Amino acid sequence: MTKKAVHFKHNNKDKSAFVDDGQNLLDFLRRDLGDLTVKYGCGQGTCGACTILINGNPCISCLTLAEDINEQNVETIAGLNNNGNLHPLQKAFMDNFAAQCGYCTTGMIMSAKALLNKNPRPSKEEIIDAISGNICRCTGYEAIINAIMDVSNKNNV
Amino acid sequence: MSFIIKNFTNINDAADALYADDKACFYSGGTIIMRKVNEADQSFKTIIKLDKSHLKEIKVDGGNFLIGSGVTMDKIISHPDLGFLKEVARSIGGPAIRCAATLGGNLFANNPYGDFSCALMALRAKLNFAGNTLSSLTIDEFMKNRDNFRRHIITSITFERLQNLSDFSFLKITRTLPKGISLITIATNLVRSGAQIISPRIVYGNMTERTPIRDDSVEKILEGQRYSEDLIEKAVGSALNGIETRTDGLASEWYRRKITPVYLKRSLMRK
Repeated sequence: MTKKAVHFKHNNKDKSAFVDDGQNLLDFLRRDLGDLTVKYGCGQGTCGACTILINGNPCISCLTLAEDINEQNVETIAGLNNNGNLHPLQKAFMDNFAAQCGYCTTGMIMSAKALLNKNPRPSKEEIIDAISGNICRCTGYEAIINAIMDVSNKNNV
Repeated sequence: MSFIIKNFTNINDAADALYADDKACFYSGGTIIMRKVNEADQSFKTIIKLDKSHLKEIKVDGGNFLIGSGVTMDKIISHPDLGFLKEVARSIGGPAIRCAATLGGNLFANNPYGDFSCALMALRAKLNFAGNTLSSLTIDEFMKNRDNFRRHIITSITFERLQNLSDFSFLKITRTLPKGISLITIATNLVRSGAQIISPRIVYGNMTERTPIRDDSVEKILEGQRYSEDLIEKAVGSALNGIETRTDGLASEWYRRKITPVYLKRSLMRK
């Protein structure tokens, strides 16, 4: 099997590694980098549990070739906390009881972060659209939407 | 993971490599192929990839649009001249999928996906190909024998500017909001000369085994007529004549047949 060298940023740290031909990014992040915050859900791009950011844009890591991260900036939820302090989105999810089983949470938060990076004060409709690729079977979504709105309301324009 | 990935910087080299290998497929955005890779699909062994900078062009030249086949849905949404296609692109997946899914890939998507192709068929799109074996085809010709073109690379899609944006409509009917898989998709384009409808296009997605498909019987009734509610009633009454609708996990053949006239009427009454 051919290996390809990739050089990239993982949560703002420079990394270099070899990836296999056909290896998906989710597998690479979990197995090779040991970043287990990225969740394996369906492997079909349907559930959104494996959502990460590449150069600030949301990305379904199970549908992305690992070799495509060469020279790119990869962000996972592992990079969100700041010296042990929760990111505002993480705190809002906690305060609003927006996680039950927690399996979708990492993908949800990364989708929300992609939205808030581009639009710090989104409407409820924009929040719903932003997380429309992420499935949650526990919360009924309302608590998640409220958590994101909480952060949005605290953002200064 | 026994796949071989071949990367190319020259599109003609990529086209030749794809054409020469019957176990190869072309990687556009990855949203179709990576599902197969993850399932260890054995129908292909080689993935042909082109440098990411290719096929990303969006050109508006007078009365014509040219969109590169590698243009993603999010780029269509944000392009100032493609506002009339915004809702079509937004109907596809969530934001993460839309950052990866391309126009070219959508043309090869099987049921229940490929909704953008319905819109392109309603717009009478033409597809341009790389390499020496094929230059261009109408989308109708392409869809009739789509499997024959799997070893060709579509470089761009062209179509004419709409005279009136209200001539075009797109409706994707799903069971869940804000995003769901299409039960049926309806794209219509009623070009008018004065009050007369000329060359109407009524296109359905996820209706038959092959997607998308035109409804000839409705088009014939509308052709050359003055737009009126009576005409729409008559046209809708003949919807799906001669078309064998499909049954899948989302809806039965009967249900599709039942709801199509309702939604087709809503589409056509928007004019």
